[in-house]
Amino acid sequence: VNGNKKILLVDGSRTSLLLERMILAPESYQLLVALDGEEALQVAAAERPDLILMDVVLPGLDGLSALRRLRAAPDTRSTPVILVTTRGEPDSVEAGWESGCTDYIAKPIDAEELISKVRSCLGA
Amino acid sequence: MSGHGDGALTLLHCLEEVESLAAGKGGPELGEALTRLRREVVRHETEKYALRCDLEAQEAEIRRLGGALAQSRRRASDAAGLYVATHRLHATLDRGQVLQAVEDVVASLLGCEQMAVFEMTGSPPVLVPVNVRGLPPGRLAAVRPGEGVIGRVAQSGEVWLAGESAGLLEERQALSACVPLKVDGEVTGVLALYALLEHRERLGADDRELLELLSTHAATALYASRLRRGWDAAS
Repeated sequence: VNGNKKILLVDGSRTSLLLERMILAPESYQLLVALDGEEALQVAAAERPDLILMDVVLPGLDGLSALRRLRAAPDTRSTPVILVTTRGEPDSVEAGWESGCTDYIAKPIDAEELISKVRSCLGA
Repeated sequence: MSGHGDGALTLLHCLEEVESLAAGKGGPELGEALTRLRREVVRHETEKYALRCDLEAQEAEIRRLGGALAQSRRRASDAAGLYVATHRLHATLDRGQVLQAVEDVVASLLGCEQMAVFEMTGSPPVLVPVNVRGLPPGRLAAVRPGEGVIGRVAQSGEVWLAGESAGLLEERQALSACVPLKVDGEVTGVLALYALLEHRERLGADDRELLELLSTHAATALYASRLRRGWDAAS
């Protein structure tokens, strides 16, 4: 059912990427991967994912800047973006909302919370 | 359920009968009709009670299944974390990358970005910090086995968790956990975890499995990387 839904996972940590893939694999989404912000923008433009799960802290272009550029591009303006943050402080969350994120999730990632937020963003 | 529907119809029928007899001013037929009506009401209430019991039992079963599902999801999530940690630690023989993997696993899966790896070295042996993340340079010094929490963990070979274990107040405030690094049961070092991310209050029993995994797998990965380095230097 979810096979035609594409999710782009953006994280500089291979551990987090692997964990996100492990959690989401049973849900049968098509999973795409990017290791930094610039790569995320390229993959998003080329693949038009249904959802982007992106870490705030990324090498090079950070998650918040990448999000602002996604929101400025007509093709990705309305793509749901869940920000993954290592910081639970209100500042980071507020900056995420201001940059146009759809939702956010804090590390360490809780599997049930991630699945529930992904489903909710995809309208499943 | 069909009995429940029939019961309701019979009840209606009895009511109509009583109403009609009452309109004709009753007599012995009215008394009999009332008795039948009472019987029907009792039967109806009994059915209703049985159905309510059924419903409550089914709701309890749904709650039990919901709990079991949540528990199995948690187990699957924990297993995914353990798999990811093992995979990351043993994906390389490069010492720098193994240390990076330890940092990454601790940060991503435990929510701790201040940590240090101490390795046992020299004779008499001493624990030397060989990799420090998120702490000011020079804060950590070498530790003798038996000295403080880190030294005691090296001696006992047991995982230490702040809040669950004894230790000086100052150490308990600074350290979140101490993990002995063990190869074939022998302690080769200690992984010390300091402050957690703000939204993580403390490490608990749920984290113990991952800490135990780190105890052996991080140690083995570091040991293998040392062997590789020695091999490279010799060849």
